[in-house]
Amino acid sequence: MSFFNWGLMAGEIQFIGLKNYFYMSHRDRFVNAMLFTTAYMFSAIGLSFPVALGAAILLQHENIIARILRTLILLPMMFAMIIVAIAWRWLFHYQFGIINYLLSIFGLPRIAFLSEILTARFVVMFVGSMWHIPFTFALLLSALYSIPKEVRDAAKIDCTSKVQEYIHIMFPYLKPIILVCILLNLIEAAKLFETVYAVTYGGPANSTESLSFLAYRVSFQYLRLGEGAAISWWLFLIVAIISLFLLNLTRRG
Amino acid sequence: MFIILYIDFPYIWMIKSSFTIERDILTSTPKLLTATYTLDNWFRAFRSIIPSLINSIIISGVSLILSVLIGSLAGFALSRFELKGKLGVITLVTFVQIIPRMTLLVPLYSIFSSLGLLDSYLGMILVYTTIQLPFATLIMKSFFDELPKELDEAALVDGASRIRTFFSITLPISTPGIIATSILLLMYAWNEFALPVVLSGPKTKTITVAVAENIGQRYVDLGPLFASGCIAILPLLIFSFVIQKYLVRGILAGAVKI
Repeated sequence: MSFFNWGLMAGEIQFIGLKNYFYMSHRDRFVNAMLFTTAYMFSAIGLSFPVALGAAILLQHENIIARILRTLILLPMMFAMIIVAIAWRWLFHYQFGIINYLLSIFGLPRIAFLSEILTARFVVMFVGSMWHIPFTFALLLSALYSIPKEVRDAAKIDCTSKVQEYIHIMFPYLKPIILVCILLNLIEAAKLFETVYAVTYGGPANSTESLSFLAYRVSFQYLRLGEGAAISWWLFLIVAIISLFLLNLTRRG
Repeated sequence: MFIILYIDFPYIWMIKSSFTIERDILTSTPKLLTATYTLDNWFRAFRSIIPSLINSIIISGVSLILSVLIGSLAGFALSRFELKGKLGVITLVTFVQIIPRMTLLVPLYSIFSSLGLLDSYLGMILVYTTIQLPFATLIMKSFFDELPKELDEAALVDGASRIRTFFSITLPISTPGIIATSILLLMYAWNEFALPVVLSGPKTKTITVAVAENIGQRYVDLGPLFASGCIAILPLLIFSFVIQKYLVRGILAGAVKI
């Protein structure tokens, strides 16, 4: 389908080879979406991973407070991304948003987060990375629990500080799961759609369009299904490459 | 502590706003104690959202049943029988699973529009089942792999047919696995957004679409919007408390078996 000039009406279908892949009519937007998606993938992981790791290390102990906090972190995993994204959209609102209210309390100027290119991109990354935390947290927590008790005890005796304990003893145990977790999150991040849809709808000036979102708009709003298919196959290519890495990793482990 | 705030604050704020009158949501200085609280938002949201709530229940429910049934049969076959090209099938199923929604949606849309399946329950249920099936198959297979083979063999020796063995031996003892799978599938189906936003129409729109379609407009009734957001997550919240025990196990099983 991506090889055709494919409109919705009959008779509009025409073979054009690879043209859709390289000479699409929204080429600038495609390049932008590609770059934005890639940037988002890495920044979302970069933001969410340390937070989730820190939380997992802090909350691994068995007591009532840790249990409640764990539930609070894991609970959002159940809920629809689109709905949180709507809530965030209003939290970042120029006039009525809480974020701007907090800024004004500290005497900072209000920022029109969603109508400036740079801040809008930041907001999408911020909201999106929040979405990755519970999942990463769950994986890391289960990995931490799987470390044998003897190893932990030995580490306690041998190491002078907690930090050393984690760097030298725990990390080698966690390494495979950390890699898997990062790759899974990258795949998930590459598919970014709902956050963009609800928070910015691609704006301002189409700067926050992700590949999924661009494919959606090109296919279902501009009704150029062929082009949309081509864009979505580019997305598939990214996901497939990461998945190959992942498969390789799981086969070896 | 900060992390909790980061992750859970939107929900808390949404719940708070859903009980607040419009004037107090749209202020530049948020009020907590001085705000006027009301239940009206919830009634209005309920009235407008009930059809899509029912749609969501029908679509995710039927597709859940279908995909668990087919998925467990397929998973059973893949786990127990020596089939030719089994590895190929497993690889293919895994491969299908990683295809992004958007890549599927574009061709699906044109197929559906030529078959007249857009905005029909049959089409929606078919798509949801198709999307869920690879995952259901793989995860059921891994649950069946854990069960001892000897049980099946004992049943076979006693003269039960393959089908009978499956339904009266294997299925009952793998109930926890089935429950965990169903929870995950239900969660994904309920929260699915890209599929229904493209393939459903006014008749079959699901709850996520119904909530999201308000955001693009210039003027939105914020109170009902947030109340409907709450309604959309409420079933899963209640559900998650009921089945808490299976939840973590299911999530972890689903996470590791990509």
